[in-house]
Amino acid sequence: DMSTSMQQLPPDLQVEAKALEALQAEFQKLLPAQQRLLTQKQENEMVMKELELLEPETPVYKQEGPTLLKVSVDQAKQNIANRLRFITEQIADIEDKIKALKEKEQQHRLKAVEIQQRMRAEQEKAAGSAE
Amino acid sequence: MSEAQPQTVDVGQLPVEQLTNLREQLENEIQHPASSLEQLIRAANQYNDSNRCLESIKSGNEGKETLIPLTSSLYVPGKLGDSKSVMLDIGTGYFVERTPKQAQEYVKRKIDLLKSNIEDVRKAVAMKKRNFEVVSMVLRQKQQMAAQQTAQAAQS
Repeated sequence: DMSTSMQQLPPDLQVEAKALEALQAEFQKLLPAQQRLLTQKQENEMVMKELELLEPETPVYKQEGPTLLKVSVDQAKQNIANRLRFITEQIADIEDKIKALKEKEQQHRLKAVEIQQRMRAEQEKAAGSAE
Repeated sequence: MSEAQPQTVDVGQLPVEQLTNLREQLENEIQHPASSLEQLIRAANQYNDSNRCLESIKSGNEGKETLIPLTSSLYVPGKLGDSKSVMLDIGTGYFVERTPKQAQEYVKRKIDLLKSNIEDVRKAVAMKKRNFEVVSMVLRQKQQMAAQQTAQAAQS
């Protein structure tokens, strides 16, 4: 498992491995949130499309708990437009966070490769001087 | 971190372990959409049912007796009242008063959308199955070659 194979790594590689694990956990938290927002965006866009097909005097009702409140087509469109604006902002926010995580992941991977190359070079040097 | 990246990779160049992983991944990806497909088909059927109901709500049928659901298991007898308008749930908590004909148009739009989604899912699964076959074949070839090399090395 992960922890025993990690203990076999030299300490500076362990640092990178732990960092990568932490980043992966962060990423796993963001993914479902992003998916949920994308679904909401799609749903609200579909509602907006339907509202746009209506004549302006069509009776529209908004569900508030157990009641339906009468609203105008315009009010409904306004409300959905606001929702879409908010959702789009949240999506952009999560995408920024994901991008930052990916950059950090890349940095740690490069560092790990660097360490491994250095170790290999040192081993070769040691083997060379032993002859 | 994994994501779907549309890049072309020459499968023949990949080493055996990567091929094995890829094969497993594709196998999972083929089985996962089965439930999504089921949901889409079920939704399309529900809309079809709605369509049939809407057919009955027309001007000849006003005053006809019907059973009205109060809960999922409790119905009360009633009469069809206004056949000129129905309340349509368009999603996210919004309802619209429409004529039965307009409601049927809405239902048709939804069914068309679902049909195109179902088609997309089927196409994606078909492509993954093709990729799965290719990867499996290349993997078998490489494993055979490796076995032959080990056999030859053992003889010398």
